[in-house]
Amino acid sequence: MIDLMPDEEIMHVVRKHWFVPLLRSLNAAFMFLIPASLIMFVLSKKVAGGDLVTSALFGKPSFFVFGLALWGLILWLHYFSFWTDYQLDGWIITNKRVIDVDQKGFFKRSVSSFRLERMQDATIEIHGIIATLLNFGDIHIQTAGTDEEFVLEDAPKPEKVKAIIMKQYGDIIDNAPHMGADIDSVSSAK
Amino acid sequence: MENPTTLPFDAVMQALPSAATFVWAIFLILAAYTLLHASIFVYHWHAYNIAPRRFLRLTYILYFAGIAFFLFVLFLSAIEIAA
Repeated sequence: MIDLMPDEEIMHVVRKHWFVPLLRSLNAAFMFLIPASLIMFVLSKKVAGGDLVTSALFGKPSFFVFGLALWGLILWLHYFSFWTDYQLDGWIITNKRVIDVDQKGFFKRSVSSFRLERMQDATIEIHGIIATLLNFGDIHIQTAGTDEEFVLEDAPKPEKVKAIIMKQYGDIIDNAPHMGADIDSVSSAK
Repeated sequence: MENPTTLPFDAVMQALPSAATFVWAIFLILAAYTLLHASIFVYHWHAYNIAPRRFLRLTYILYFAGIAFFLFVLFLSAIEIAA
């Protein structure tokens, strides 16, 4: 769980666009269906009279089923490792900061955050036909005092996400007028 | 010409474990790996989940249903191979 500061509220949670898991799901389905189809084909040939393949496997066609189930289980576990990456990775936008949760596999996880008033530049990038049609892209945020750039790849509706961040930023600046100098630099990035 | 049945290949084949031992060994290794994967999976989702509870339940149901299905098929086919 993410520990929030006092008076901090979650305004928006952003994950990668649904197209990313869809592509991965199709990939996994093909990886399973192609060998499954081949096995069905080989087994149907055996019924037609050929006996070579089954005799090579100790005369037991159940080896095919065993092998296919083994492959299916490996794919299943692998897919849910990806699903964990997808679901536990993203940005949590609060009324005070942006929390960047970076999940890489089961054993690498980093959580970094920046306060919204430290934001200097926010940029979005949309690459390609599919990203343009489905409206997803990368969001880059540069903060003051560090070379680190916060990037969320394949975010859905990046314009809207940027608008939410800018609104929270604006609210903070309105309540702290002495930070007016920073407003100009961020406004120019809009 | 040497008779193919006297090649060392036959000796190697006879030295290998039986098909039943082989599949049961693979099944046990896979079951142990799945158990390890499932415990890490549940730990991560329990500790770091930011999705709604209903979504978490759905993920668990799908994940464990798939595992149960594949392990069940593996178990049945291993029994058939060993028979």
